Amino acid sequence: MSNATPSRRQFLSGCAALGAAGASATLANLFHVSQAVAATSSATDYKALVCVFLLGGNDSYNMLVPLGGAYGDYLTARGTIAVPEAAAIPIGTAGYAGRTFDSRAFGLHPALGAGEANGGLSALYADGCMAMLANVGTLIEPVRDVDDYQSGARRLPDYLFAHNHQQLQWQTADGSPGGQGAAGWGGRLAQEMVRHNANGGTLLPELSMNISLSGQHAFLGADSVIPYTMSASGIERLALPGAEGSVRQATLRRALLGLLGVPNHLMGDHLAATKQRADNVAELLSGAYDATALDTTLYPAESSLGAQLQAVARMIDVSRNQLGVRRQIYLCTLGGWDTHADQNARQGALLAELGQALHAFHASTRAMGIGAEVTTFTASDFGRSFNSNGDGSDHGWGGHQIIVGDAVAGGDLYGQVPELRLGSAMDTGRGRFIPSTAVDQYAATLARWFGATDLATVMPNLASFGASDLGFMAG
Amino acid sequence: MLFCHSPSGTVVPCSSAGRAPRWAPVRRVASAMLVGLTLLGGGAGVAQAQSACTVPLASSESIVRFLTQATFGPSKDEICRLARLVAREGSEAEGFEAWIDEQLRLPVTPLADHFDPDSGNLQHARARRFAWYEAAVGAPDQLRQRLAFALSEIFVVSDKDGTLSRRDGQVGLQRYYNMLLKGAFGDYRSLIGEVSVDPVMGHYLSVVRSQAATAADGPQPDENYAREILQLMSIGLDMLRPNGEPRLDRDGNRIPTFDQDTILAFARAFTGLNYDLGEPDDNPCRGWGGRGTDFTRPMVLCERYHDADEKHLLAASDRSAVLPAGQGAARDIEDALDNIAAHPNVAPFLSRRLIERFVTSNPSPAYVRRVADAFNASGGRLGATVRAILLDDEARSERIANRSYAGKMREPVLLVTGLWRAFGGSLAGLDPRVAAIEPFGQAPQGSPSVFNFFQPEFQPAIDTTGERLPAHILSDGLYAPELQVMTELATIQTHNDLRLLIHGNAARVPLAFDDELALQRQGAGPLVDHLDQLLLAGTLSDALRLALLEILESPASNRDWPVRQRLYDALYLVVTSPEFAVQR
Repeated sequence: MSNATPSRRQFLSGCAALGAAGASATLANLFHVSQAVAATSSATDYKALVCVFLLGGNDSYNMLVPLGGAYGDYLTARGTIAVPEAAAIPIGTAGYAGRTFDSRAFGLHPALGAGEANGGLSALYADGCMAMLANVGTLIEPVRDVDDYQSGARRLPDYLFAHNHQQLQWQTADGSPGGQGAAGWGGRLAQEMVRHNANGGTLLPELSMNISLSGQHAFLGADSVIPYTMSASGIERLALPGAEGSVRQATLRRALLGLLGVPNHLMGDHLAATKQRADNVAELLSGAYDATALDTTLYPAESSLGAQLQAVARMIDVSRNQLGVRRQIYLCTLGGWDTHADQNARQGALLAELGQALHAFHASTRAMGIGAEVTTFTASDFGRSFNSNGDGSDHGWGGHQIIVGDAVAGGDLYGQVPELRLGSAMDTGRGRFIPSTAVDQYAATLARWFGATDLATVMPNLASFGASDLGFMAG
Repeated sequence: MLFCHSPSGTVVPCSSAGRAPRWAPVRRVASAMLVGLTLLGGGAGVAQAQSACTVPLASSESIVRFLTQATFGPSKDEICRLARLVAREGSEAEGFEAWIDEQLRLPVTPLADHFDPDSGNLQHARARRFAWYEAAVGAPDQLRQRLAFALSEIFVVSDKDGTLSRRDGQVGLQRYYNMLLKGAFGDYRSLIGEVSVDPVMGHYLSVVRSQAATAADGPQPDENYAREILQLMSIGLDMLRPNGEPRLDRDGNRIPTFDQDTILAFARAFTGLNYDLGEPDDNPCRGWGGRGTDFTRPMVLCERYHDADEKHLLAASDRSAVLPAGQGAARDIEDALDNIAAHPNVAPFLSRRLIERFVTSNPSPAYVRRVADAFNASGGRLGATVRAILLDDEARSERIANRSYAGKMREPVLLVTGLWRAFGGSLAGLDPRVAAIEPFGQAPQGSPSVFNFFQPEFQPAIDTTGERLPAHILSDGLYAPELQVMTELATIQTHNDLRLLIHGNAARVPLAFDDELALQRQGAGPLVDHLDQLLLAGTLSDALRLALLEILESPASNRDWPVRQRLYDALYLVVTSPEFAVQR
């Protein structure tokens, strides 16, 4: 936090101060780096953004529950999928008092406090290391209310409520319908960082600035950015027949790599280029990656997201300390959020997993001394219908998101929570609420923190909306 | 590095040949000959002399190409069978047609029951996948098997769902797959009829126990199945022309097929479906609101929870869009499915989906139109549709197949089945608990979501082919669905999986290489030609040919690099190559 501007937010939260000093001392033994890594450590300027995409559409109206006077409308709309008011974990109102939420009280889903080992996300919120952004979603231009929505005067995102298209639009957010192959804003951000400062990007042509732990998604790609996709279980190398060092193995390796450079077929060549990159990175990094040692005790057991975030932590360690990389953007995903049915059990388990994984990852970054250099944030296809379908909820539009890190002005809510009532001004039907904040603004706030100066290049449709800094980043 | 044949027939770097013109670049030995491929057929140790055949080279290429599209991979037996048909009918076109008609008449080979009731969830999952591979590799009704697999990637259910991952769910998933197998050649309307009341789908897309609203601000029917059957399984999101291109309005915008109100109307039509928890004449409402499931029988209808009001469905359909009030759940569901099936989008939408699974990721609009016409002319019969897909000039033309963007990628399971079938692999008699049948980066009925393993419109974020080829995926607006799962990670894992299937691992499916070893004794050239014909339909590149010759003729001693290992290594190089990953 050396050169961050002190803000009101930091006074309130104290997260950053705790992160830099107190916590890292107590957590120092969490992260056992190898001698070599320890000796060469310390890139001075490092930042990572970690996107956790919740595939399927998180029902965030159960992640952040209205308490007190507004609870009645909530219960009416949600019925059996409502979080009991007494079970929600109340969050202090001090942070947002005087802004749009005054006199409105909220609580977190009880599963966000789960985890005997780490206390989940509610602990991070209380410590000021986590913020929430309310009712953010895909927009082409602001839509004031449901009359505005129905007027035909507003350009609306194509294919609202469809998983694949809304995922794409969340990840591309350039004011267009965002078809396949469109650049993701993580990709554009990486491009921008490289363009303005070669040293701000990766120093290695072999390793992309953008790394996915969960397959190919539009978010990380752009014209000149080919994301690297790796596994949560590590960096696997090509296995070759024959003994190490034998003529046989050497001949086969030379032959198969040689073939990757020979033009043959459009798709085959794309595959060949991918395989070539995979081999380059594996040969370069698999040894160093394997040598990292991470204390995994805080991570939830048998959690896909936990495993992905552990791998991110190890990859950050290797990239930053051994490769001198200074900017990275990661993508992790967690599926299963399309809770049309059995929502109480399914979403509860997912939120517990999410909370514990994010909490553990935050601890890992602190143990590495970079709690304020890594910001983790969530995204999801859409929010869900506020109206229940009996034991679940259906596809919606705006929803709330989580931002975690020591540079976050946490312990606070940002954006605007719509009036959570069926038939309210922002309800397009069944409580599919119009987003009051655009993904573009959310992304721009993160991009500015990341160091982008030309925000209009990263988020070309940003000018259509109001604030380009939503205030949730302190550092 | 360029390699050349020396006068003695060995392969050496061309540079070491100096500028001597007598050392010609390596060419296919059999390029101008009609002797072609000799196939002995049969598995290891099993004499099957009757399948031995000789196929003229020119025919073998188109036969192998055809079978690569129409089956889980050309086996030697199937190549011989088709070659005999071609000879009997007098032309390739008629031979292929005869083969398809033969396939359309074959009885269904259902997936076998390998479930051990005493075993746990993981073993059930394994037993289901084992049965799938067993049929994919060994069943005679290959066209039906391949079509059912394609349908399983359109009418998606998956064991990534928690409930379906468990024992009853795994058994249910297999029964669902057998339903697809049984209905594969039948008509589309019947198929969606079965899918829509299947309890596995009912659970997966949560239509089961969806109930009518009792108050405007109370719970509403579940929209999940209503949305996805429209978006993914029938008409898609945009109004289509008969050739599959989107219709545009006066302002040049695409026209949506439905809106949120349409979805809600279908959701209301699909209310009242319940698991069948009792005898046929039992109360069909039994267990409503509870947690009991049944994945063995079609769902039943509970009128009490069905929405009896009038519903307005797809107005663009040729069948009535209005379901009158009070006609009951059964009639509502039938009428709703009729309304979907009679929508003009169904033929082009489904035709394109199926073309993508069998032939190419980038069909021309005219091709889609011809197949859609066949779909309509046959009353929506999928067997007739696939027949039209495979016999179309755009599927058969070698000129088109030679384009740099022709065909499609083989998805991971097709790489595996292709390897196994080419060399007499069979799962019969193997122990389902230990056989090396997974994971291969993809498991049938195991996609991450209802959007399958990959999406039809997938394009990579960047063209990596540079200036090397005349076309590009992204900038030329082409699609490459399977590339979505072929990440850096997947390329390495798939490569390593294939290595184990050839070289390693006591649990691997045994393969027979008698023919290849015999050819190898004749020389590297004949063996390479054979692998070219059998695995690549004669499209082996010069670069791969040279690499194979180098392996087979390496001066390394026999002790350092035994003859049999060289054969395995050559095969390994072929199946892990970018060339084999493409189905032209």
